[in-house]
Amino acid sequence: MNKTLFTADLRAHWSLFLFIQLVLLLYGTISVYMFDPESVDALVNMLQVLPENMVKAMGFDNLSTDLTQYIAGYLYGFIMIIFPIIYIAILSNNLVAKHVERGSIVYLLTTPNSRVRIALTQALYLLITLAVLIGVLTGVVLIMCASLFPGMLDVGRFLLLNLVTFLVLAVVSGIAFFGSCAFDETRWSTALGAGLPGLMFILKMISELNEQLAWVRYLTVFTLMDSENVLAGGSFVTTAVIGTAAAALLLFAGGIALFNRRSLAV
Amino acid sequence: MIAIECRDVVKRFKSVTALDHMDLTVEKNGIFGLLGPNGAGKTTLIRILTGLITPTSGTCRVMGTDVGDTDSDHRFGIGYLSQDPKYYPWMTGRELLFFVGRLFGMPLADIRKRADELLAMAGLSQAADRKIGGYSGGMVQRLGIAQALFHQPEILFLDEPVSALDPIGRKEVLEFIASLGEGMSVCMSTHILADVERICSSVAIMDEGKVKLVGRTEELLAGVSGGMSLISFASAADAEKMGAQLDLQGVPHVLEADRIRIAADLFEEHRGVILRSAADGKLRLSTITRERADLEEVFVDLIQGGRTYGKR
Repeated sequence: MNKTLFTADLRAHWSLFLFIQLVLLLYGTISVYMFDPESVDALVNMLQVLPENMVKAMGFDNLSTDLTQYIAGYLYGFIMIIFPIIYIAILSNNLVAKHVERGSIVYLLTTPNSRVRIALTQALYLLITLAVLIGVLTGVVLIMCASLFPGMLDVGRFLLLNLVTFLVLAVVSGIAFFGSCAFDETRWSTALGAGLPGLMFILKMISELNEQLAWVRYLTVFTLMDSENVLAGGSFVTTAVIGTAAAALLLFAGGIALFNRRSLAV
Repeated sequence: MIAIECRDVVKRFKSVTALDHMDLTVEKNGIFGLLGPNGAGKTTLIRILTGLITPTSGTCRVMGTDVGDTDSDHRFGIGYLSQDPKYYPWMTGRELLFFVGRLFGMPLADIRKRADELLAMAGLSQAADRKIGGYSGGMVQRLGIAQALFHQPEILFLDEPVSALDPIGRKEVLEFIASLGEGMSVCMSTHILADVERICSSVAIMDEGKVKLVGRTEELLAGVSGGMSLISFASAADAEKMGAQLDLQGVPHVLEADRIRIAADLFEEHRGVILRSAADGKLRLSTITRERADLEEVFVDLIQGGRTYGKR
């Protein structure tokens, strides 16, 4: 990794990071603050008025009087997917494809830093900041729960949920990063980096809207973020952790290898 | 001492052949101009020489090292400025040079010293702490050259460094390039002939992916059989009379007040008739001069396949 480039990335993209982090913290803190087993019952009753499929599609079908399940249902069905997707799509596009399209990659490549080292630095920046986004939210939620609802949060299961969330989003990052490494033009990079994760998110919603189309959940990586299954633990979690880690590794390695080999339009 | 050596280089982009079995040898030191129309293959060649892309076949060596070697240490010897350099607009000029210095792994004290030197050389000392986003096109190009020179490369590649600039920016950047002097090798691509004539000690003319002509600029100009002869008279009336005589002889010419412009080779062919006509008509000849051919003639004739070049 090149520390100089990493620092420049930090300076170039801190505002995007801050915006997404603040949005996640806003939702996270509000959701914890709003928790009240009695009012959750009321909220669940209110949600029953809405079409069941719509509630499912928004990921609010798992709201529970159990704090861990409540947070998982409130945050991890929708908010912890859509905002990180936005972050990943914009950032991965900026980290490689935009540099190539603008031609600014040239002065990086004409330094004694190999393409692999440059691409690896950019990949690590994406993964590390994604981990920080999730880590900071996790920490804030843990602190809030400890102070507002001591002993009510199952910390182990909550951490496991965040680990799976990070790994699923790492796969999404891998897809977007691969697209950024594969194309000289940002429109194609964006098409893959934002389009495919967006499509997978829509597939997740469709699978929850219509039981006849439930099979499409096998076409989307977000199925592995099923909070109910993750909190239940067992082989689902093991499969999700191993599968997503391997897929993310392959996608990042493939993107870096492609960037190293191909002729760049600069 | 060879700076650049290309042998039988081919570069294809799908169905387009950008470089077509191209050979080129460039001596070390001095400013070398790579001249050619748009699409001639200049940028592709520079991208290969700087290791940004690989040739489909053939070999290229820069400063004795095969550019196919992926050894990144080789890049210590190369500086490169692209046609339209883009930098982080939020960085200041000084910050950019510090950033580049750190990418090259230079010690901070050396970075600080070198940045001051180059900012002064590029005429950017006053603007060093302003954001690059507020720089003019000429300032960005000069900063780009400073950035490319930062690690003291043996050879500097400049791809169309002035083509996007206004006349003032162009003049500033050309003066900066010319100031690099004979101490280092500079390879500059352009399609602006006057720029090459002005600062390049040697030149190669490229077209359709091949080097059509290469040599020292002065030698190329001296080897042109073209050029114009300018016959000046004491009065416009005398010039008009001579024009009439030339019309009668069927010699193409251009009448410009008290002067007649005629292709040098035609003048040589009709010299006797012209001088005799002047004497018979009592026309008062002032001077007969030959205008030096410029690179534009060499270029246009070569690309359009007009004349054959030979020593006068």
